Amino acid sequence: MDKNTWPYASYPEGFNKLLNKIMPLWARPMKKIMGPLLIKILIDG
Amino acid sequence: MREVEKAMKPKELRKYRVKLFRDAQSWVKPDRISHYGNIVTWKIFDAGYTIDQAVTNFDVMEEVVVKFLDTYPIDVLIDIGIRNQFNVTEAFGMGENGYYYYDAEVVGINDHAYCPVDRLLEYIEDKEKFAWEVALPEKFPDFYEKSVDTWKNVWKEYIKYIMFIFKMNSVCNKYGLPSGAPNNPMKGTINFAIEEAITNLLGIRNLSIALRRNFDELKEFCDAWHEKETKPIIDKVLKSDYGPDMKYCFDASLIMLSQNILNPKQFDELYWCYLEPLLKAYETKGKCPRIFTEGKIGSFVDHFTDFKKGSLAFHLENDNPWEIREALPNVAIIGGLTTQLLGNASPEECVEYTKKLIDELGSDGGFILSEDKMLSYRNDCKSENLKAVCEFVSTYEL
Repeated sequence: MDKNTWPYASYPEGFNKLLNKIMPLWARPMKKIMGPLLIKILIDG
Repeated sequence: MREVEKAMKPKELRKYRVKLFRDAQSWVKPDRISHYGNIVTWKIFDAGYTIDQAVTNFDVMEEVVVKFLDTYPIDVLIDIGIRNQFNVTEAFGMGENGYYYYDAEVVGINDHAYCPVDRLLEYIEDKEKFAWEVALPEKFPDFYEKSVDTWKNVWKEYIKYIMFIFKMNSVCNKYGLPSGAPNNPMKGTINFAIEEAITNLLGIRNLSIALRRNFDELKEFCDAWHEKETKPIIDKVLKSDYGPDMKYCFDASLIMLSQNILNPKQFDELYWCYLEPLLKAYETKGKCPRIFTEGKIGSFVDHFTDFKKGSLAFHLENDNPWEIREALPNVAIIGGLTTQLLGNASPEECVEYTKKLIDELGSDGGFILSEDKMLSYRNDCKSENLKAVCEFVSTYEL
């Protein structure tokens, strides 16, 4: 796969699509805060 | 610990400790000197564990923190075990692409860069977009191959980490430990362009090169960062209520590191012109930020001489506290204890030096005791020395 074929490659659309797949329903209202923090952990870590 | 403090309930003790910090930074003589515990991974060794046993196991880390708080009376602890995201990154499969590394004795970070100089403006335009679409796929060659199951595991570990943060905050509440400052990993820390450049975007090596070859691009990036990131914080401070926020020991926590590689012109044009308005905003509103001046700040002390007493507190690393007191009699000092002393001297020598620090720098306010370095390695400190210092400072009335 690459950025043209991976369905979650774009931001924010692809990222949100991925979050909807992995986040439980109860957590989705916190997407706007928890999503960027997760990205920060992965990029700085 | 003083009897009057032993008798306090946790909430009361937390409020009292905040007052000790606030009195000291406002140059009001406190009842006693407060101790800002700059202790990080050393406490893992002191609890009988190794680094690798603690950083991937929240139960072990909680035990480490609780043992520490039971043994050493301290007023604030910089690290309550939550600087610890390895389970999240390992669920993702960081491997050798990760910037952090650890083994039994050490946690470290390699100098790294994830944004070329010519893309800094693209980064600041939308940081998350840049990270997701550019930096992460470059950092991880297999980024687009990660399965949804891998991402689900990452999410599970992430939630466990978030819950651990809440748990450890609750542990600290039980010990009457206040928070140091309002900015934290959940709310975001206050940072400046040049600091983000040196720690993550360019790294030390690439920043050093860019300072010579790409000054104009750096300046443009710093200006854009100021507009997007710092100005909103300044506006928020200026709209806030006057006076210190008594829920916290300080009104903000900043780290200064890049001044160690900047010459005076670079410091003025890439740092000071953005930092000064923020510090002036805090001063205007009667607030006091803590600035951890990593390395040395000595070359730039002249920039801070005009600030009112009570509006700044420097946590010193390599600067001599007496020299800084002489150069900046208006700035409260946090620090004084060296790893050289704590790791090598006797308990009596440590207490004698602590008394000297307090008597000479803190008897009229303006001083908070702390360790100069983040105590991280096994030999940074002897347990009996820290115990002796903690017992002394928690009972020595001014």
